[in-house]
Amino acid sequence: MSTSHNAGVAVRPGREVTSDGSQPNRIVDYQKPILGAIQQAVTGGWDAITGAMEPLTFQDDTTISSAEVLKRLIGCAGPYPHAFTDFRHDFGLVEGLKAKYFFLSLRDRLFEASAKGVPIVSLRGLPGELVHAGGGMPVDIAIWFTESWVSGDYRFVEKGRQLTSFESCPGECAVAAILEARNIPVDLVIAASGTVMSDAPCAHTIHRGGRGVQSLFVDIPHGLEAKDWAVQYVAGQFRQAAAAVGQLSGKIVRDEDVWQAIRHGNEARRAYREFTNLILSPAALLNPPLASFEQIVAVVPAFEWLGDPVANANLIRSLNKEIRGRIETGVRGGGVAENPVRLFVPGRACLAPIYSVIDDAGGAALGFELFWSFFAEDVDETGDPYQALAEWYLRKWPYSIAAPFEKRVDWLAGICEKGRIEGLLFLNIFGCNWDPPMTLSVADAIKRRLGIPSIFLTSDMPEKDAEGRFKVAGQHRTQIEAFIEMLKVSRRGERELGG
Amino acid sequence: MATSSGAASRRQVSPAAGTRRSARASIRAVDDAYAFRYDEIASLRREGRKVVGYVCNYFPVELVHALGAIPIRLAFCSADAMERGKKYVGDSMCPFTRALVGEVTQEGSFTNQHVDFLSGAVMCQQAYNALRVLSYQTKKPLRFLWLPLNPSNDEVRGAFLHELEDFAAELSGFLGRTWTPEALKESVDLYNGIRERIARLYALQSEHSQPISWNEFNRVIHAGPFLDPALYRTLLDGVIGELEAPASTGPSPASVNSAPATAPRVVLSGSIVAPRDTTLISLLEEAGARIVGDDSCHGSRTFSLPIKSPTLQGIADAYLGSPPCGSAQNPDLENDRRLRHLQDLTQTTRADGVVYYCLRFCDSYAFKASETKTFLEKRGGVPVLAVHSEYGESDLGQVRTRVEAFVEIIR
Repeated sequence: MSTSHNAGVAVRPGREVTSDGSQPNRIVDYQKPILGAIQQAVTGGWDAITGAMEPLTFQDDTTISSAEVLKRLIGCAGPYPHAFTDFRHDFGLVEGLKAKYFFLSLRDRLFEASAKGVPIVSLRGLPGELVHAGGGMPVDIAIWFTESWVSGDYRFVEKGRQLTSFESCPGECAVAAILEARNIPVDLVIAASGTVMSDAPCAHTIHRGGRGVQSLFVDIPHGLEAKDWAVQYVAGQFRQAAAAVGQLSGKIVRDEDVWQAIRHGNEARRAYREFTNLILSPAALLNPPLASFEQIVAVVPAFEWLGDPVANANLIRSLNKEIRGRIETGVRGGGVAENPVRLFVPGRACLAPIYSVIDDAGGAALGFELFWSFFAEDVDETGDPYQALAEWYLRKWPYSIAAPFEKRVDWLAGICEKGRIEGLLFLNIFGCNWDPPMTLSVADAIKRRLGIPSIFLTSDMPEKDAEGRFKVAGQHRTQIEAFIEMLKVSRRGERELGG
Repeated sequence: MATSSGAASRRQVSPAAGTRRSARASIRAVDDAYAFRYDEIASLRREGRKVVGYVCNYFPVELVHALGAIPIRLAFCSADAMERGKKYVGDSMCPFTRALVGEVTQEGSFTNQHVDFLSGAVMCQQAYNALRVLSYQTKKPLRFLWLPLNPSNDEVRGAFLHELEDFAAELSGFLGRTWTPEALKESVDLYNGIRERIARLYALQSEHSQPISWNEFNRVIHAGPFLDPALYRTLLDGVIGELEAPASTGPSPASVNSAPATAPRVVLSGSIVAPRDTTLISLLEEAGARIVGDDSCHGSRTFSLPIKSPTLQGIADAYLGSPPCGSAQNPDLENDRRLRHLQDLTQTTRADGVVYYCLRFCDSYAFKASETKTFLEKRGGVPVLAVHSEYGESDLGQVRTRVEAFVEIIR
């Protein structure tokens, strides 16, 4: 008989907002409920948590202790109170606390790095290795997650839409606005042009004419099984991009620098692949060790390593240990039902409050295509490093726009089979040109191949209640509940038919 | 190209604003040839000719023609097709791509029946995804022609030439034919001839004391990518001859909707103006404006690329050198060729204003509307009106009010 570790909790810190209070002896009032919830979740309290959590080592070899991780996480309640109030956490997942710290500390870490002279590069839809090799720190779409989604502050989205279009994807325009407002200290934008995500480079052209940040565009041949000339063409641009970062950091970028960045990235990819193998293991499918929300918190960094692939890899390795322990002892994630309806989220996925609705309805979101595809395969560690990166980008990344449609479907179908997925949940974002047009065709292809049904939800930024807290739109809640109920009925039908 | 559902679904303001029988015999000849072309293509296909349906103006039609196939451009603006397209691509795609998908997936539509091969030198993600969806839904083979979006340099030229060579080889394989240098030269000469004549028509339309209405003019321009090119070239000679003739020798070239020569001069810019997309143009002319030019990808940009050498390199250079789409990127505002081209256009046409057409969800142009406005107003003193709209008439009153106010200001 398995057990759920806890029901999962959303805590209510006070309304005071301050960034002070990162030391345990100076816990301010609004942080106490968070600390209390965390301590309550782990038998033995603070000492047990810090004892169970492994320290976190970063790319520059600095290490922070588990106690420090915890202190800083609690400190994040100042700038990001909604992160604690509006999402249901499984505070008993000790390494999950570290993942949350890693995510919520992104902006602070960008400023710390910038203060040390590290160039900060807004890297849109391209591999982070290019920036790390040049001595910089990359940041992609995650800054939108922290500064708009999690902070609950939609001003960047509103400003971004003034700068671009009222029909813009909230993410692309918000990133452009964040950069223009210098909310993060970005020195250079490197964006994939081509049709990779045509709204992103177009959004960044608002910075032209001395209004903001210098931009560099990497042109990606699309829509074909990449020929050798295409790999070389992209590799040449990757070399220029790394050199541009090197110019900012005062570094001549050697091939060895790129190889090191690739090795770091591959270590993170391998750690993540181990994570997915655990999540899709038979025992975990019956008793998922992570709640849906904790799933996405764990994999969100994968798209861009949140500025530090080494820390990211270390973090996931520690998390894997804890997950393995949960699987071995049959402990489910907080709030997850036994043998839940297994869902997979293709395409875009947001840090939506919707994930707890999935759990409550008896489902579980087991994985996310956008993030999982990013670590599906390693970058080859032989030959020319830029070509290796270009090959990975054009030929190995199944979600790449450069990849043929069939390749994406093949990969997705493989995951669905391995995870015995029962339904696909498409969470489309308003104004996004990348995924929504393809979702119906992807869903149709999977339905024809595996008989798996899909549901489609489209939303802009989350709705808020009267107190300013995120809420799930009623129609979305109803759709999710009905979809999961339908899949449960289907299961029962199969059992009755002896399936 | 007309839609399967016919004239009833075409976008109109004044009755038959875009489809009225022309007072000009030469334009009626274009209309007649267009109407006849459907049967002609069907007949040619029965004889074994293949039809390549393409999107975007950077597609090298010369190459397809040299291979003996029939290139036809896929561009629709029917509100019905747009609604049907939603079924496959959702509602956050631009109206043009929704209509494209809705039309070609429609069983019984001309393109659904007669297009053998899908292609396009697409520059925006929406057209790219639309073609992928079309290929998946209709099972028609698809081969993109990748066109670089960054400013050209030796690497870009080299990469595009590689792509063009691969494309030509794969298209040859599909069609089961090879092209010869002689055939390519013949095709290049033919299309260059068409471009020269269209350029002449644009100049006439800008300078003529009694221009024809822009919707009628567009009917002539938009017919080209559907008609047989040799016939089209001949028909253009007829149109030019008739428009150049002294007014006293025939009926007034001015149509009901055309504005007097003294009317405020407007250049139309922005998103695609697809065939039969007549609303904005009609509103402008009804408000008293005279359209004197455009930089539309289905308008003047289709001929701004004379091919100097009848080779793949010559074709590559011409297409790379033509005025770019809004989807193209250039980090350097000062050297942005799209803006420069538009600025030059406003100067050569002596425009009093620019109407910048943004189809809904067309990020490539909508995101650049503000910048375009600032650029033109600061450098050329040319006021810009950005109009956001989609097919159908749901926003007609709103757009009319804005257009009328703008024309009043620049008058």
